[in-house]
Amino acid sequence: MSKKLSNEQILQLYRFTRQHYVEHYDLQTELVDHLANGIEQQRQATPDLTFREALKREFKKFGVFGFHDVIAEKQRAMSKKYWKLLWRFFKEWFRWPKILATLCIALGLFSILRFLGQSNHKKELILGSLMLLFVTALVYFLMTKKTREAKMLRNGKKFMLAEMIYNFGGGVILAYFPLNIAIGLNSSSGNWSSSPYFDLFFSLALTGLLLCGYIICKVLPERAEQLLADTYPEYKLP
Amino acid sequence: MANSKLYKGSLSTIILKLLDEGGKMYGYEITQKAKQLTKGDLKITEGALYPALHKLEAEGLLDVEVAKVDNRMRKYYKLTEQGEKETANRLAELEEFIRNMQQLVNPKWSIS
Repeated sequence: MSKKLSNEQILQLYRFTRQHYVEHYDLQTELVDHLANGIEQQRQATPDLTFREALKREFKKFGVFGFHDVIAEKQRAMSKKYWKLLWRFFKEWFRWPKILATLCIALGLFSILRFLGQSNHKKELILGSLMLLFVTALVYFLMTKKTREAKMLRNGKKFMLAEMIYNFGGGVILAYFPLNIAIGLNSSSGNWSSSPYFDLFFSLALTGLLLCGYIICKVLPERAEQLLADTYPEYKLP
Repeated sequence: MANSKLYKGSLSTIILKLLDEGGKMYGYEITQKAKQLTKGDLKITEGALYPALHKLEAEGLLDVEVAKVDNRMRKYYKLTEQGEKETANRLAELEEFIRNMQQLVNPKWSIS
Protein backbone atom coordinates (compact mmCIF):
# COMPACT_ATOMS: atom_id res chain seq x y z
CA MET A 1 0.00 0.00 0.00
CA SER A 2 1.33 3.41 -0.97
CA LYS A 3 2.18 5.59 1.96
CA LYS A 4 2.06 8.78 -0.11
CA LEU A 5 -0.38 11.32 1.23
CA SER A 6 -3.57 11.97 -0.69
CA ASN A 7 -4.67 15.39 -1.96
CA GLU A 8 -7.25 15.55 0.79
CA GLN A 9 -4.59 14.87 3.44
CA ILE A 10 -2.41 17.64 1.98
CA LEU A 11 -5.38 19.99 2.28
CA GLN A 12 -5.83 18.82 5.86
CA LEU A 13 -2.22 19.77 6.53
CA TYR A 14 -2.83 23.26 5.12
CA ARG A 15 -5.80 23.57 7.44
CA PHE A 16 -3.69 22.28 10.32
CA THR A 17 -1.01 24.96 9.78
CA ARG A 18 -3.74 27.63 9.54
CA GLN A 19 -5.24 26.41 12.81
CA HIS A 20 -1.79 26.74 14.34
CA TYR A 21 -1.55 30.41 13.42
CA VAL A 22 0.41 30.11 10.19
CA GLU A 23 -1.52 32.64 8.17
CA HIS A 24 0.63 33.00 5.08
CA TYR A 25 0.55 30.64 2.14
CA ASP A 26 4.31 30.77 1.51
CA LEU A 27 5.12 29.52 4.98
CA GLN A 28 2.18 27.10 5.05
CA THR A 29 3.46 25.46 1.86
CA GLU A 30 6.90 24.87 3.28
CA LEU A 31 5.57 23.46 6.54
CA VAL A 32 3.01 21.27 4.77
CA ASP A 33 5.78 19.66 2.71
CA HIS A 34 7.86 19.15 5.83
CA LEU A 35 5.02 17.57 7.79
CA ALA A 36 4.05 15.44 4.80
CA ASN A 37 7.61 14.11 4.42
CA GLY A 38 7.77 13.28 8.10
CA ILE A 39 4.38 11.59 8.12
CA GLU A 40 5.17 9.54 5.02
CA GLN A 41 8.42 8.37 6.51
CA GLN A 42 6.79 7.43 9.81
CA ARG A 43 4.05 5.47 8.09
CA GLN A 44 6.60 3.72 5.96
CA ALA A 45 8.33 2.52 9.11
CA THR A 46 5.13 1.83 11.05
CA PRO A 47 2.39 0.96 8.57
CA ASP A 48 -0.33 0.79 11.22
CA LEU A 49 0.16 4.37 12.27
CA THR A 50 -2.80 6.59 11.41
CA PHE A 51 -2.39 9.90 9.60
CA ARG A 52 -3.56 11.82 12.66
CA GLU A 53 -1.19 10.09 15.03
CA ALA A 54 1.74 10.59 12.67
CA LEU A 55 0.86 14.27 12.29
CA LYS A 56 0.72 14.67 16.06
CA ARG A 57 4.18 13.15 16.42
CA GLU A 58 5.59 15.27 13.62
CA PHE A 59 4.17 18.48 15.07
CA LYS A 60 5.62 17.64 18.45
CA LYS A 61 9.08 17.90 16.92
CA PHE A 62 8.57 21.64 16.54
CA GLY A 63 8.68 21.95 20.30
CA VAL A 64 6.31 23.32 22.90
CA PHE A 65 5.77 26.59 21.07
CA GLY A 66 4.73 24.84 17.85
CA PHE A 67 5.22 27.01 14.79
CA HIS A 68 5.70 30.18 16.84
CA ASP A 69 9.47 30.54 16.37
CA VAL A 70 9.25 29.69 12.70
CA ILE A 71 6.57 32.35 12.14
CA ALA A 72 8.44 34.97 14.17
CA GLU A 73 11.73 34.47 12.32
CA LYS A 74 10.00 34.45 8.96
CA GLN A 75 8.34 37.79 9.84
CA ARG A 76 11.70 39.22 10.82
CA ALA A 77 13.37 37.95 7.67
CA MET A 78 10.59 39.25 5.44
CA SER A 79 10.59 42.58 7.19
CA LYS A 80 14.28 42.86 6.45
CA LYS A 81 13.55 42.09 2.82
CA TYR A 82 10.87 44.79 2.74
CA TRP A 83 13.17 47.48 4.12
CA LYS A 84 15.87 46.43 1.67
CA LEU A 85 13.38 46.95 -1.16
CA LEU A 86 12.43 50.34 0.22
CA TRP A 87 16.10 51.31 0.43
CA ARG A 88 16.70 50.09 -3.14
CA PHE A 89 13.97 52.34 -4.52
CA PHE A 90 14.92 55.20 -2.20
CA LYS A 91 18.48 55.23 -3.56
CA GLU A 92 17.12 55.65 -7.08
CA TRP A 93 15.99 59.14 -6.13
CA PHE A 94 19.60 60.11 -5.59
CA ARG A 95 20.71 59.03 -9.05
CA TRP A 96 20.36 60.82 -12.32
CA PRO A 97 17.76 61.83 -13.49
CA LYS A 98 15.54 61.45 -10.42
CA ILE A 99 17.99 63.37 -8.29
CA LEU A 100 16.82 66.50 -10.10
CA ALA A 101 13.30 65.98 -8.75
CA THR A 102 14.69 65.29 -5.25
CA LEU A 103 16.74 68.47 -5.33
CA CYS A 104 13.77 70.47 -6.62
CA ILE A 105 11.58 69.27 -3.73
CA ALA A 106 14.29 69.99 -1.15
CA LEU A 107 15.11 73.38 -2.66
CA GLY A 108 11.44 74.25 -2.99
CA LEU A 109 10.81 73.47 0.67
CA PHE A 110 13.95 75.33 1.70
CA SER A 111 12.94 78.40 -0.32
CA ILE A 112 9.48 78.45 1.21
CA LEU A 113 10.99 78.23 4.69
CA ARG A 114 13.49 81.01 3.92
CA PHE A 115 10.71 83.09 2.42
CA LEU A 116 8.74 82.72 5.62
CA GLY A 117 11.89 83.60 7.54
CA GLN A 118 10.62 86.91 8.77
CA SER A 119 7.01 85.90 9.20
CA ASN A 120 5.59 85.71 12.69
CA HIS A 121 3.45 82.81 11.64
CA LYS A 122 6.26 80.60 10.41
CA LYS A 123 6.15 78.34 13.44
CA GLU A 124 2.38 77.92 13.21
CA LEU A 125 2.61 77.23 9.50
CA ILE A 126 5.23 74.52 9.97
CA LEU A 127 3.33 72.83 12.78
CA GLY A 128 0.06 73.15 10.86
CA SER A 129 1.57 71.61 7.71
CA LEU A 130 2.95 68.69 9.68
CA MET A 131 -0.44 68.08 11.26
CA LEU A 132 -2.08 68.27 7.85
CA LEU A 133 0.40 65.75 6.49
CA PHE A 134 -0.35 63.41 9.39
CA VAL A 135 -4.11 63.66 8.92
CA THR A 136 -3.86 63.24 5.12
CA ALA A 137 -1.74 60.10 5.54
CA LEU A 138 -4.15 58.61 8.08
CA VAL A 139 -7.20 59.35 5.93
CA TYR A 140 -5.42 57.84 2.91
CA PHE A 141 -4.58 54.69 4.87
CA LEU A 142 -8.17 54.32 6.05
CA MET A 143 -9.74 55.07 2.69
CA THR A 144 -7.59 52.54 0.83
CA LYS A 145 -7.82 49.83 3.49
CA LYS A 146 -10.43 47.67 1.75
CA THR A 147 -8.78 47.81 -1.69
CA ARG A 148 -5.40 47.02 -0.18
CA GLU A 149 -6.74 44.07 1.76
CA ALA A 150 -8.27 42.67 -1.43
CA LYS A 151 -4.99 43.07 -3.31
CA MET A 152 -3.12 41.16 -0.61
CA LEU A 153 -4.83 37.98 -1.72
CA ARG A 154 -3.97 36.03 -4.84
CA ASN A 155 -6.48 33.27 -5.56
CA GLY A 156 -7.46 33.46 -1.91
CA LYS A 157 -3.85 32.98 -0.77
CA LYS A 158 -1.98 35.52 1.26
CA PHE A 159 1.78 35.82 0.82
CA MET A 160 3.73 37.46 3.60
CA LEU A 161 5.52 40.00 1.43
CA ALA A 162 2.23 40.92 -0.30
CA GLU A 163 0.74 41.68 3.09
CA MET A 164 3.71 43.88 3.97
CA ILE A 165 3.60 45.78 0.68
CA TYR A 166 -0.15 46.45 0.83
CA ASN A 167 -0.02 47.20 4.53
CA PHE A 168 2.60 49.81 3.65
CA GLY A 169 5.12 47.86 5.73
CA GLY A 170 3.26 48.90 8.85
CA GLY A 171 3.58 52.38 7.34
CA VAL A 172 1.04 53.85 9.74
CA ILE A 173 4.07 54.39 11.93
CA LEU A 174 5.45 56.59 9.17
CA ALA A 175 2.24 58.62 9.22
CA TYR A 176 2.89 59.41 12.87
CA PHE A 177 6.31 60.82 12.03
CA PRO A 178 5.05 64.31 11.09
CA LEU A 179 2.95 64.33 14.25
CA ASN A 180 5.93 63.41 16.40
CA ILE A 181 8.11 66.02 14.74
CA ALA A 182 5.37 68.62 15.30
CA ILE A 183 5.08 67.68 18.99
CA GLY A 184 8.87 67.76 19.36
CA LEU A 185 9.16 71.15 17.72
CA ASN A 186 6.27 72.58 19.66
CA SER A 187 7.79 71.64 22.97
CA SER A 188 11.33 72.72 22.13
CA SER A 189 12.40 76.08 23.41
CA GLY A 190 14.50 78.58 21.51
CA ASN A 191 13.85 80.43 18.34
CA TRP A 192 14.48 77.49 16.02
CA SER A 193 12.17 78.74 13.33
CA SER A 194 14.44 81.61 12.38
CA SER A 195 17.61 79.55 12.01
CA PRO A 196 18.78 78.81 8.43
CA TYR A 197 20.24 75.54 9.70
CA PHE A 198 16.80 74.49 10.85
CA ASP A 199 15.39 75.38 7.42
CA LEU A 200 18.04 73.30 5.73
CA PHE A 201 17.70 70.31 8.03
CA PHE A 202 13.93 70.45 8.01
CA SER A 203 13.64 70.65 4.22
CA LEU A 204 16.02 67.70 3.79
CA ALA A 205 14.25 65.59 6.43
CA LEU A 206 10.83 66.35 5.00
CA THR A 207 12.03 65.52 1.48
CA GLY A 208 13.30 62.16 2.74
CA LEU A 209 10.02 61.50 4.51
CA LEU A 210 7.94 62.42 1.48
CA LEU A 211 10.04 60.18 -0.76
CA CYS A 212 9.68 57.27 1.67
CA GLY A 213 5.94 57.82 1.77
CA TYR A 214 5.76 57.91 -2.01
CA ILE A 215 7.75 54.69 -2.38
CA ILE A 216 5.75 52.88 0.33
CA CYS A 217 2.33 53.97 -0.89
CA LYS A 218 2.87 54.14 -4.62
CA VAL A 219 6.04 52.56 -6.01
CA LEU A 220 6.08 49.29 -4.06
CA PRO A 221 2.35 48.49 -4.51
CA GLU A 222 2.62 49.29 -8.22
CA ARG A 223 5.53 46.92 -8.65
CA ALA A 224 4.16 44.33 -6.25
CA GLU A 225 3.42 41.70 -8.89
CA GLN A 226 6.99 41.65 -10.14
CA LEU A 227 8.52 41.85 -6.67
CA LEU A 228 6.36 38.97 -5.45
CA ALA A 229 7.14 36.85 -8.48
CA ASP A 230 10.86 37.47 -7.88
CA THR A 231 10.56 36.54 -4.21
CA TYR A 232 8.25 33.56 -4.53
CA PRO A 233 8.91 31.10 -7.34
CA GLU A 234 5.49 29.62 -6.56
CA TYR A 235 3.67 32.95 -6.94
CA LYS A 236 2.93 32.50 -10.63
CA LEU A 237 2.19 28.80 -10.34
CA PRO A 238 -1.49 27.89 -10.70
CA MET B 1 18.91 21.64 18.31
CA ALA B 2 18.28 18.50 20.24
CA ASN B 3 21.34 17.22 21.97
CA SER B 4 23.80 19.93 22.77
CA LYS B 5 24.07 23.65 23.20
CA LEU B 6 27.49 23.34 21.62
CA TYR B 7 25.91 22.78 18.23
CA LYS B 8 23.63 25.76 18.51
CA GLY B 9 26.08 28.45 17.48
CA SER B 10 27.16 26.40 14.49
CA LEU B 11 23.73 25.61 13.08
CA SER B 12 23.88 28.06 10.18
CA THR B 13 27.41 26.94 9.31
CA ILE B 14 26.24 23.31 9.32
CA ILE B 15 23.35 24.21 6.99
CA LEU B 16 25.64 26.14 4.65
CA LYS B 17 28.11 23.27 4.55
CA LEU B 18 25.38 20.71 3.81
CA LEU B 19 24.07 22.86 0.96
CA ASP B 20 27.59 23.37 -0.31
CA GLU B 21 27.98 19.62 -0.63
CA GLY B 22 24.44 18.64 -1.52
CA GLY B 23 23.54 21.39 -4.00
CA LYS B 24 19.88 22.27 -3.65
CA MET B 25 18.06 20.74 -0.70
CA TYR B 26 14.71 21.09 1.04
CA GLY B 27 14.17 21.49 4.76
CA TYR B 28 13.27 17.93 5.62
CA GLU B 29 16.17 16.62 3.54
CA ILE B 30 18.60 18.80 5.52
CA THR B 31 17.43 17.34 8.85
CA GLN B 32 17.76 13.81 7.48
CA LYS B 33 21.17 14.44 5.98
CA ALA B 34 22.54 15.84 9.26
CA LYS B 35 21.16 12.86 11.11
CA GLN B 36 22.63 10.42 8.60
CA LEU B 37 26.08 12.02 8.53
CA THR B 38 26.37 12.02 12.31
CA LYS B 39 24.79 8.57 12.64
CA GLY B 40 21.86 10.02 14.49
CA ASP B 41 23.86 12.15 16.89
CA LEU B 42 22.85 15.51 15.46
CA LYS B 43 19.13 16.06 15.29
CA ILE B 44 18.40 19.49 13.86
CA THR B 45 15.02 20.34 15.30
CA GLU B 46 12.38 21.79 13.03
CA GLY B 47 11.88 24.74 15.35
CA ALA B 48 15.52 25.73 14.82
CA LEU B 49 16.01 24.74 11.19
CA TYR B 50 13.41 26.93 9.49
CA PRO B 51 14.23 30.14 11.39
CA ALA B 52 17.89 29.58 10.45
CA LEU B 53 17.03 28.95 6.79
CA HIS B 54 14.82 32.01 6.56
CA LYS B 55 17.48 34.15 8.18
CA LEU B 56 20.13 32.95 5.75
CA GLU B 57 17.75 33.60 2.87
CA ALA B 58 17.10 37.14 4.10
CA GLU B 59 20.84 37.72 4.34
CA GLY B 60 21.12 36.85 0.66
CA LEU B 61 23.16 33.70 1.29
CA LEU B 62 20.48 31.35 0.03
CA ASP B 63 18.28 31.35 -3.01
CA VAL B 64 15.02 29.42 -3.34
CA GLU B 65 13.38 27.29 -5.98
CA VAL B 66 9.96 25.72 -5.87
CA ALA B 67 8.95 22.52 -7.63
CA LYS B 68 5.83 20.43 -7.63
CA VAL B 69 6.65 17.03 -6.15
CA ASP B 70 3.84 14.44 -5.97
CA ASN B 71 0.78 16.43 -4.99
CA ARG B 72 2.49 19.25 -3.15
CA MET B 73 4.92 22.08 -3.56
CA ARG B 74 8.49 21.76 -2.36
CA LYS B 75 10.81 24.63 -1.57
CA TYR B 76 14.48 24.03 -2.30
CA TYR B 77 17.35 26.08 -0.94
CA LYS B 78 20.69 26.56 -2.64
CA LEU B 79 23.70 28.73 -2.02
CA THR B 80 24.03 32.05 -3.78
CA GLU B 81 27.42 33.25 -4.93
CA GLN B 82 27.65 35.29 -1.74
CA GLY B 83 26.57 32.20 0.17
CA GLU B 84 29.45 30.18 -1.26
CA LYS B 85 31.97 32.77 -0.13
CA GLU B 86 30.36 33.00 3.29
CA THR B 87 30.45 29.22 3.66
CA ALA B 88 34.20 29.21 3.07
CA ASN B 89 34.65 32.02 5.62
CA ARG B 90 32.51 30.38 8.26
CA LEU B 91 34.17 27.01 7.81
CA ALA B 92 37.58 28.62 8.22
CA GLU B 93 36.33 30.31 11.40
CA LEU B 94 34.92 27.05 12.68
CA GLU B 95 38.15 25.24 11.98
CA GLU B 96 40.09 27.85 13.91
CA PHE B 97 37.60 27.56 16.75
CA ILE B 98 38.03 23.80 16.89
CA ARG B 99 41.82 24.16 16.83
CA ASN B 100 41.73 26.66 19.69
CA MET B 101 39.37 24.51 21.70
CA GLN B 102 41.71 21.61 21.18
CA GLN B 103 44.56 23.69 22.57
CA LEU B 104 42.48 24.85 25.50
CA VAL B 105 41.00 21.60 26.66
CA ASN B 106 43.92 19.51 25.50
CA PRO B 107 42.00 16.32 25.05
CA LYS B 108 43.37 12.97 24.08
CA TRP B 109 41.41 12.92 20.81
CA SER B 110 42.32 14.74 17.64
CA ILE B 111 40.42 15.97 14.62
CA SER B 112 41.86 14.80 11.34
